[in-house]
Amino acid sequence: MQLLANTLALASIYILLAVGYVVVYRASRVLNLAHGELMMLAGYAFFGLVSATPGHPLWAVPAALVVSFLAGVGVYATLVRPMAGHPLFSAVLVTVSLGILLRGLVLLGWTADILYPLAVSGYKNVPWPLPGGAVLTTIDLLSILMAVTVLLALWGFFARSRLGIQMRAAAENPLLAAQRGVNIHLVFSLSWGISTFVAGVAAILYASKVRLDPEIGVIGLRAFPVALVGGLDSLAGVAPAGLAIALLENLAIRYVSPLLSDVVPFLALLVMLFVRPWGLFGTKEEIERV
Amino acid sequence: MAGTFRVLAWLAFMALLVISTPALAQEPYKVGITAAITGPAAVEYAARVETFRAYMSKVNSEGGINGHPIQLGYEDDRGEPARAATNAKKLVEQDKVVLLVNTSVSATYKPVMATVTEAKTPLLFGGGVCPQEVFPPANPLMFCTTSFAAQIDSDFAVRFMKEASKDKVRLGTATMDIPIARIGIDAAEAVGRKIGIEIVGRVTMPPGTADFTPFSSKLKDAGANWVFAWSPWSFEIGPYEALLNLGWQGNYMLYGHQQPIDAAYPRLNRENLYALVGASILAEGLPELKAMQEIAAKHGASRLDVEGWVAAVAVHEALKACGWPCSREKLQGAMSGLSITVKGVKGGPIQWSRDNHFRTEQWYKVYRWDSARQRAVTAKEWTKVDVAEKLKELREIIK
Repeated sequence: MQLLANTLALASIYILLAVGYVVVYRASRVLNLAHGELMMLAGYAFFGLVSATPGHPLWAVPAALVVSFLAGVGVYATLVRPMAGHPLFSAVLVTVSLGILLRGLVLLGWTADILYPLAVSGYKNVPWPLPGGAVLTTIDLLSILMAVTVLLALWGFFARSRLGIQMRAAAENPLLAAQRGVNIHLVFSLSWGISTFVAGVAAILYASKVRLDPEIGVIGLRAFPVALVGGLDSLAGVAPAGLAIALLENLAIRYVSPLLSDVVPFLALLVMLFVRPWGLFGTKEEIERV
Repeated sequence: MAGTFRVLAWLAFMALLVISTPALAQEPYKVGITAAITGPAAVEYAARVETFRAYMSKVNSEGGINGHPIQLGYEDDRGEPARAATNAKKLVEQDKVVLLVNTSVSATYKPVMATVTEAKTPLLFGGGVCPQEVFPPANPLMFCTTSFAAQIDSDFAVRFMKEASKDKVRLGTATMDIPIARIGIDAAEAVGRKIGIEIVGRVTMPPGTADFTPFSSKLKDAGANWVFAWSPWSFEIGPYEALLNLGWQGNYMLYGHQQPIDAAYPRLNRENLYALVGASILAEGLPELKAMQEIAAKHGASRLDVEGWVAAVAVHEALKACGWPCSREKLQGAMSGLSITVKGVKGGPIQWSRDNHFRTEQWYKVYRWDSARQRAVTAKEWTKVDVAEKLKELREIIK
């Protein structure tokens, strides 16, 4: 039972991060390799805001998410938009450079010390016993809840809202969408904002449960196989892929070797690339474009 | 006329002497440091370098050593072997340092050792784990002040657990997947078995571990009532916090790296966390450490790191013993018989001998947190370990 609980907790963080890759890719066809670092930045924004508002930690959460959203919009406006017309890999390289820059800036601003935002906020991560002897903490439960909420909200947004439909149109054929009056740059910047907003949710939860330091951006890299296994252009694929990879990791730790946990996401990715390169729910044509 | 010339010549000579003396006096002792100032390991090492720098600034502000200032050359290796190799070459061959200090992860040791061996330059491991080369029979060029040493620490830790526990110890171990940590945990398990402790499980965590819960679940389910971790800090405290989140009620022991354990004790406020240390922690509130903290702050350090301070004291003492002028060869000779005392920080002096550049005696103390008094208290007082004897015993047990 604990295995299942651990799987759900880990999968929820993977899902929240993988969603960011998918949303940006669907809209702008850019693989954002600074996603982990943007998540880290949101974590530091959260820590800064928690520290600045002692006694009112709940204000820090929405404020950090706003900062996170604006960071995504800012990245699109200043770095990705100027790359329009250039080969897509140039934009990808820009995101790699951005990741390195962000890590450097965080080190300058906060040093490499390990920080614990939850301790600063005064809240505790309380363990809750579950049936079957399993235990999940408040943050674990919140992570699972947030993963479900984000997936449902994004599904609703893309399926029902005017802006969501415009984003899907822009993703499918930007030129045609632009000719039909869709503000392409608004749509793209919004997708970057949504991506970093969700990464911000993951950052707040992860930093509250585990720790905050300049290396937590590496988790973004671990969520990358989740996005690819699910299908880089498929939000529907994120949940099963996240659950499958988290389950495989937990099984490897418990029954094979804990050391395998690091390679399991990439093994799963490798298998998927052999069997179904476009991912569980991805579009076959899309992989040819990649 | 001849007399006047003699007087003028004498005055000119004196003037030259007066002019040249400050220049000579300002010729510095050159010391180089390659350290993990950034990168994943910076969590532990950056503060050490900061304290080291502050101590040297204090020495220089007091007139230097033997009338000469210390000139420090810093290079960041990010804990990466290739960068450390480049740094060592630059500092040793280009900057001509008389002593090289390594404050970084063990992965950087080999290339740095190769450079100093080639250039016959003394190398001090100040803040990173002591390598095999400083233990008897020691490499003549290599020295270490760091308080922790994988095998001897682990031996002391498991013996303490046995001594402190009324019930049978069922030990689980947690380690990061790096060679030095595995060596420490292997020793803990071997000694544990020898003294009648049941080893119920081990988790080896890869460096990229995101969530410690699955690893800790395994230890909890194995029925461990004690867990011992010997690793870089994140991989010591991570499994402990995950065990707490799982509602585990056992005792946890780790090597207490001073900076992070000082922060962790009040934050966690738990009495089942034992910290084995080779240097005192601030949470105990010793006046000597408070004084050091003030000095470090006065000289620009945002925090005190005891390991960094001890390494700096060792460099200070070594250069003092070397005198002026100080060559690499002379310094190496001076270091071979050096005794370094840092009052309040360690149980006894760090005494180097001709064939032991770790120290002849290692001192340990164990802390736990007293939640009622909100301070760290002693669980076991300073205890001396004879290093040569212990190494011999460990060789027997581990083989």
